[in-house]
Amino acid sequence: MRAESLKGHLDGLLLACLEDGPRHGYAVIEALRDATGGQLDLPTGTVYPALHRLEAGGLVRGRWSVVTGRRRRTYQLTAKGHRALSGKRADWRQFSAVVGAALEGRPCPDPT
Amino acid sequence: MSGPDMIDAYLAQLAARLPEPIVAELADGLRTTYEYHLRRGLGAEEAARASVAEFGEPAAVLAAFVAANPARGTARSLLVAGPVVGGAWAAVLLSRHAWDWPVALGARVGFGAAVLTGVALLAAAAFGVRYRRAGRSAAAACLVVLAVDLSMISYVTSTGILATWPVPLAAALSTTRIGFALSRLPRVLACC
Repeated sequence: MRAESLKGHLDGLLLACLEDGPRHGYAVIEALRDATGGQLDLPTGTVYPALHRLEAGGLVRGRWSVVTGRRRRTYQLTAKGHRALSGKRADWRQFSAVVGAALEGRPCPDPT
Repeated sequence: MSGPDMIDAYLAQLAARLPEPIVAELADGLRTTYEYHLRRGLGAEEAARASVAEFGEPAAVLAAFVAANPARGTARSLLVAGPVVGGAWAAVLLSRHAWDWPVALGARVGFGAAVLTGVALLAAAAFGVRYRRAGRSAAAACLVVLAVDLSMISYVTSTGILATWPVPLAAALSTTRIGFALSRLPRVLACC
């Protein structure tokens, strides 16, 4: 799956990777790879700016630490990030149900 | 080129355009990826090549950072707010006959030049494609915006027309903009 297909969904995926606890950039990438069975063809260098964007939006909080002599930035979901993740999950369920219904000729689910 | 040299060369391309803390974070990620490939049994050169390929073209990483640059977002917000705050002050100047105010010509010209400089700096930060330059432009623009807003508020306060409509509206908008610029300034300075 190519990176363009992720447009609009990367933020939600990154928030989901941080749901279980704080992770540094590489660990987020690993979690994303594990969660998707390695099917996302995403340049990992572009995950870092996405994390910075989430931090600027107050959805994650970054903290520096030093691990084996190297500076490492670890990210953690904020309360706002948890709410945003719930919202993105609900939006995705609705989106996939509606698009799935249209693509497969099924009746569209009731919006309520 | 040896494996570590390849990693260093890749990071040097990013270091030329991005602030040091971002490069330190990317360096940690890239070196962790490199170590992962070494543990998988790849040779140093192969591991470095695989790590760099996974990270993506430096131009793509830079472009993603430019798009996410908080200085850019701040500049765009201030550009959008500019006509609103400026319009309110224009109403004040017209309704209170600003051409009769006892302000020296040099001060008037200086104020106009500051406004134009602020707009130019905001435009450079909002649409620039260089991360650190956008940060510097946005930081300078924030300072100009603070100076412009504070000088207008100081003037209307000192002349006793603060309570005369539409001065309170313009002053309130400027105060809001001052708060916004001050709150964003630390993050913008970190982009320089």
